Amino acid sequence: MPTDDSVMRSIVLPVPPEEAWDALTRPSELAEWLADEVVCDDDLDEGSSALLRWDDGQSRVAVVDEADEPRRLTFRWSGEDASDETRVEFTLVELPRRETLLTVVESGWTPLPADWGPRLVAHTGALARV
Amino acid sequence: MAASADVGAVFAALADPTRRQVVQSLSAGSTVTASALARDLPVTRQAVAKHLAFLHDAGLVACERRGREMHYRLTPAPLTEAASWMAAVGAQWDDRLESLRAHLARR
Repeated sequence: MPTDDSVMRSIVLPVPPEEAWDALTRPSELAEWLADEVVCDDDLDEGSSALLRWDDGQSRVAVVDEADEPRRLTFRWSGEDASDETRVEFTLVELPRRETLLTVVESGWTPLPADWGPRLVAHTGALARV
Repeated sequence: MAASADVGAVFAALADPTRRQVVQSLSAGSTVTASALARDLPVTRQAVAKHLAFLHDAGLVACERRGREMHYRLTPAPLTEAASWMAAVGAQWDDRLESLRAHLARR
């Protein structure tokens, strides 16, 4: 039974964290694996935003919250309907033999209506404990 | 696939530990009243009624009036939908991460 609104996946990458970081933050690199087209003025950094487009017509705007090179990158992204915003968190851990353990956690499907009121505090507290 | 808003409602419903206990009590399969649930849980009947209303809004609980009392039962379909939604999101990340790994291996 799902009680936690997060998805976590990990993979071992055949490069050290510094190189993996480029693949996570350079628009041309992101277009190789995350989306079909990535529009961003510069490399992703704290506060920067990027438009991601897929060939099936979908698009999402990502806003970077945290960029701790080469360890941690977090952003919020949403489609045209901003109510589907979720949070994506990448963590990079250096492994022996010039490899990187990359973990991604996507979370935040729980809607928080504006009129949520005092329940909000209890609600987010419960989520944090899960 | 379920809409993300529906999935969100299910997670919001399950974010509260008391509501999870209510779901667990209902998952035994039988129908119960709010009074009966309140006897099993460390909360008042009024609190149980509020939690049941919340679960009802998320589509997790159906109710039926019998005599003077409402009887509640679990309708677990949204749980399954939420689980398959999460599985689909996970599969998407599996694909993306594999593309990333293959891209880096090619360099």
